Amino acid sequence: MLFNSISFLFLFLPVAVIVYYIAPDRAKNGVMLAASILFYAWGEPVYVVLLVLSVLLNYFAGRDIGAKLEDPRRARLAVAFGVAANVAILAFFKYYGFLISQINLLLPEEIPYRELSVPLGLSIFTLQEISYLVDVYRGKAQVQKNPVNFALYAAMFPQILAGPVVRYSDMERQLEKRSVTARKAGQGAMLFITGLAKKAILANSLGKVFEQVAAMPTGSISALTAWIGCFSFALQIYFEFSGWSDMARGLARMFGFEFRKNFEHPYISRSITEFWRRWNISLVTWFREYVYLPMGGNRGTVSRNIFNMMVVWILTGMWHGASWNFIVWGVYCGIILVMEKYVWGESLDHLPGPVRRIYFIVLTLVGWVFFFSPSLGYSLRYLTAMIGAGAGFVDGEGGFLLLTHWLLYLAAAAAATPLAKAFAGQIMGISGNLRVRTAVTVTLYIGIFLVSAAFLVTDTYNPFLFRF
Amino acid sequence: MDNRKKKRGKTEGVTGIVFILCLVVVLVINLIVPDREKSGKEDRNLASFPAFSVESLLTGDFAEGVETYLKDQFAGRDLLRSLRVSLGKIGGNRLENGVYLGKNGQLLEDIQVPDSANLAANLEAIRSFAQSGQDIRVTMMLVPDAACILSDSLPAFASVEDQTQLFGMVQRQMGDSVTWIDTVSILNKYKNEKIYYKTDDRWTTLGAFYAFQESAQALGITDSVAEQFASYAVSGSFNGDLAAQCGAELGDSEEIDIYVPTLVDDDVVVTYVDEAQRTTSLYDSAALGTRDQYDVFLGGDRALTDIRTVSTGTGRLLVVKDSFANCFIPFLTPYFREIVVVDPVYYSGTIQDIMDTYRITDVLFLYSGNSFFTDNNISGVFTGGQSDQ
Repeated sequence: MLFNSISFLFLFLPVAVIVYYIAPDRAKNGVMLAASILFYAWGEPVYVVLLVLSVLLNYFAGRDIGAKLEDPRRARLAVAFGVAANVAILAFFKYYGFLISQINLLLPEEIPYRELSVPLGLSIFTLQEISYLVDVYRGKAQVQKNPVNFALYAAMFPQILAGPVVRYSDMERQLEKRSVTARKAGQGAMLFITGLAKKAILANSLGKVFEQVAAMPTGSISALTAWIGCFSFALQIYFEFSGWSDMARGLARMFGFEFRKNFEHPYISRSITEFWRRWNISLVTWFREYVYLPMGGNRGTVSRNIFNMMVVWILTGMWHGASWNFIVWGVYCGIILVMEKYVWGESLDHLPGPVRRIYFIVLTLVGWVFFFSPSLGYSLRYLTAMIGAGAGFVDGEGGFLLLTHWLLYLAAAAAATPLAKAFAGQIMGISGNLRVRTAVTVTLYIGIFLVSAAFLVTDTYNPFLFRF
Repeated sequence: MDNRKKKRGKTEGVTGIVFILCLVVVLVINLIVPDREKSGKEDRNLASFPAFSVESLLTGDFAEGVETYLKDQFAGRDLLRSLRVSLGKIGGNRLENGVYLGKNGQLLEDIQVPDSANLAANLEAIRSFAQSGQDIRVTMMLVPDAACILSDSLPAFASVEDQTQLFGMVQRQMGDSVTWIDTVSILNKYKNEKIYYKTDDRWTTLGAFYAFQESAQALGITDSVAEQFASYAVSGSFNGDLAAQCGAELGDSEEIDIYVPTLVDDDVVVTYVDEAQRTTSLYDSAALGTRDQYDVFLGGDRALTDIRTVSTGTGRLLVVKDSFANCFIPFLTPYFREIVVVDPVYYSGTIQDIMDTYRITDVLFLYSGNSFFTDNNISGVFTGGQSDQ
């Protein structure tokens, strides 16, 4: 079930919230777990078995590690086994088909294989479970003996489909004790509505523009149209991701849980390094904690550090999907980060602000071209269209797209920077009177919710981009 | 906690409660409001609750069916759609669901590009039929769509496929196997008059009349046709398919005219063969009470219609057509003793059957560009092959 579906909004959510609020404190975790399993099974009726098995595996692996903590050698073996099992499951369901298809390209004979669809949320819950095993091994967290609490951590419906990747050490105490208040429910609802609007109104509309451009043969895309397509994709993927994160955080807060912020206005960055401190923070942190630092991080030689960075970024790219475009994109990001760290980072700091912004925007957009292209050849053709080698610089198509979506781009630009939030704050602070303030706030948010619902109910274009 | 924070907490709490109440209220309303079978505003059937089976549950089809059902049967769906379309319009949107929202409330369907294999098969079927040696006059009339003729009404910067060029390609490929009627030039002459509906993809009876006037000779009509018809408005409240398709201009109402011969008797016997219905009128006034008022012409699109007239002409005409022809055919009744109308989308027999049964002397292909280029049933009625609709 997706947050942007009518079944979720007007069937699952009201029932789940009310049952949860009515339930006595000690039953709340059980209620939320049941809701989460139902939520997952609705969208993934077969793979729910895999989810349950994965949870059981890690529950027992965690207890096993905990029992062996006294003996570092055995504990090390236990954690290695647990992590390897998780990686194996992930690799089989996500990368097996891709791997065989690549091997088939090299071999004279075809190896038959079945292309599996990636189980929803697999890349999220596997990463979370690995973080649990490692945190227990490192002594950063206690073994979770209560299977309900552990299962709830791994399968909690607000974040199971698309993150954020919540670390166990952040959740440990909240699983035992947390409070639900009207204030938190309200904050959660507001955050959820914000995220829903990002997805339903902005991301979907931007996605339509992007798909229109992507459907054109690259030879007939003018530079203007190519840039519009690329900008649209950049904004779409941001609103998809951050909208989803906002919805997840909002829902979690309505149920008393607190997640860390996952996006911090990444598009106001002035370097790629800064961008990756603001974009999908939970994922970047996970790779840093559980891959980069264990590999040695930036200790050791420069070449060793560059090697570590490249490995991490290739893996990060592959995490987004099993195909070459994501690997190319990962390599691209890795190279730029290495360059900013060792080559031009310092000189970049001395450049005037606007130049740095242009530097950042161009590099980011080129990166997204690699990300969205079905093949390397397509991305190169698209990039040449962006410099006017496709169908000249300006054409009617580009003008039409701009003219017919000006409000969308205006709203998207405001929402991708701190402007929209400041503007909403101005509106809500219009009066010092508490009643007026409350009325304005309620009207604003319910109004945004209504418009989002109008888009979701009556528009057929409503994709889910995160099958990872 | 200081006072300001407390106040903000109260505002947030109220917002949360109102939000949850909203969800519950909508849930309850959706449970209470009865399901609709059809949406008039969208001119389509709405989904009903999916049948449950273990298999459909496991494949996810059931969940998908429930989602479609909830969307289609959502209380206030029409209102929400107007809200979305109006917001889009304010934001500059001029292309909604394949329909251009043109100047002065003119809606224009986007020009469709033909699937080349399908088009080649259709053209080949028509050409080999026309060349099959029978002494039959075959006329072809492709009618351009509004976006081709009324290109001035397209929104600024909108660019559509060049339909004139597509027609030219078809004409070249048909060569002189058929008599070609250049409707593009004819309609271009009258583009300042109301030859297309604003809310529908079809031409008005006036547009059809001009095309008839200038093509009569090619159709073998030797009499002068000027001043032979008088027009009457039969409806002033027509709102067409394009409005339904895009959700804009749903409040607009237009006139539908019919043209009646003034000098000759126009008695006809119309038989809808598949339905085994017979009537004595070319017009189905019951359609004026529905949303599809254009169905007033020949009762809408039927598989096979046989029209017997009291004309002194000797010709028997077969019309292979889409719905553009429905308002065109009444102009022909004074000149042919029998007119057989076939719509390949619904007709399951072959053209040869009809040629033999009705002893046809003349054939007219009448299609709008968009439906001719997207119809995959045309070649089937010649070869008797399965149509793949």
